[in-house]
Amino acid sequence: MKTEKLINAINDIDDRYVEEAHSKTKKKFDISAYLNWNSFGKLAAAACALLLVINLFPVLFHSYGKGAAGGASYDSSYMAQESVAYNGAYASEPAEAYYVADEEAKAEETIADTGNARQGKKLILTSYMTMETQDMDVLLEKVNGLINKYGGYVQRSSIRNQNVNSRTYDSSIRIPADKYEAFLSELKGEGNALFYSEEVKDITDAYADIEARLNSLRAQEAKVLEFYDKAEDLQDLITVESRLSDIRYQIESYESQIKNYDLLVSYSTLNLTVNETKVYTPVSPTFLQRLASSFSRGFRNFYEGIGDFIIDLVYNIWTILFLAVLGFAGYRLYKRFRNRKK
Amino acid sequence: MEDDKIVNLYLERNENAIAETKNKYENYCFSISYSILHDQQDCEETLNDTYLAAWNAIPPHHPENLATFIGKICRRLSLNKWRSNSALKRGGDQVTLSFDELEGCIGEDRSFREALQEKILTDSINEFLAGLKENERKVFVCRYWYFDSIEDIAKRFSYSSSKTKMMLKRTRDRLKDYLIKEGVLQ
Repeated sequence: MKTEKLINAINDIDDRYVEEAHSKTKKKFDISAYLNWNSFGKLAAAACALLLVINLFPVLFHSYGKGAAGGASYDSSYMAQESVAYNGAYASEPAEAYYVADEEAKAEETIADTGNARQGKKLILTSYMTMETQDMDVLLEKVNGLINKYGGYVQRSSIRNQNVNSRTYDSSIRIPADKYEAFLSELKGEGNALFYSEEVKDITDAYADIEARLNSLRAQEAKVLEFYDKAEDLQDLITVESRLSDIRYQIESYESQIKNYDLLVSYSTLNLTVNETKVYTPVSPTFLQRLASSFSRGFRNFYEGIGDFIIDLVYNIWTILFLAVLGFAGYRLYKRFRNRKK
Repeated sequence: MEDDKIVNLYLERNENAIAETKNKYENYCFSISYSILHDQQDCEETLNDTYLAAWNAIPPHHPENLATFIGKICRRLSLNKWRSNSALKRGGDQVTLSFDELEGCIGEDRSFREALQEKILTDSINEFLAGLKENERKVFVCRYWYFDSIEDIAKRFSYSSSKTKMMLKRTRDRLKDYLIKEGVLQ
């Protein structure tokens, strides 16, 4: 019998295989005995891994932009871009932009120069400032107090809740131009100023041009009124009234522009952004400070990322289960197909 | 007693060698024999024949691994006993089932008798076993050397019975392919 020869041949197989098979099998915790790990478990693990990558990617990306390079360098580069952009947009006086914490003295000097330049000129001042605070409510209260103190008003404001202790306040504040510098110096003392840029638009020529046109139109109006008094027939009266109407319309338009310019010149605009944070970004940071800042911010991002991941996991649980069941069914079908093929 | 000392007793023709072998490997040999014969009396006879065969084989043989040497003798004698018994009756025991399963590996090729030499076949099987994963090899040897039942193997390796059967079927298929590829089978 052929099979008996095979059995006999197997009898003489290498001793080590006989011994190996006889030796006790190491009892390992084999999860596959309890779960069909080869199919469902692997699929679930793959789904979790995919979800983890999807969730951690923005976290990592966020931390790269926000923490890893250090707050100072990030803000500095941002400031440079802003300055270039505004210079290109307005062909007026060069925008004055400076990094508050690094160049405090230089900043004061720049403001003083700007103040001198304003005398006898029509200048519109628009500035941008980013601050950090550990208590948003307290800072906003102080800012509102300063606005009332200097006779200003809030043109636009919004507050965004991203996370607990991570709110962002964004506003546009109008302050009388002559009190702006005092307001600014007080405001800087209330929080951790990270970024400041200022742009000044000189409208002196445009303002003078409008004033000249307005004077000319008013002179024309006076002459037309003289003709109006001297008009004898109805046709002359209608012609004079039509002309007078045109002149008055232009006068009102220019007066409106003048008023608008006066308002812009007399009130400076500060676009203020306040970020709430637990840890202030160090100004002029040393290497160790940057290292500590990166570590703490990185940990915070990681911590928040894990929280977001768990929330996303729960949110997507039905999708994951559906995909797992689908994958499991597909795998079983594939196995059946493969076995039939064999 | 250590294997080396027992082998030395055989070489010195000291009859204590048989007593020491029985003392150390009786259970092992009995489990092999019982898997094939399923009869206590037959097993005891086979075990006595095994000790005698070992006494006659050493010397000239000088086994490096006494356990497998004795085990192989016991297995061969048990199979011989089983053959003589199966001449009278052929039942559905593990040996019959194992033979039936392995029959697929050999096929009905007539040239087998000419091509196959037992030594070549053994070498080929050894090479084949060397290429298997450890657990696949263990399962194969448990089934076709020790004649363990599917249930016992499944329990030992924490597999399901169906997985064990499927693993054995795949291994047999691969063995058949391997033997054909190696030219042992045409």
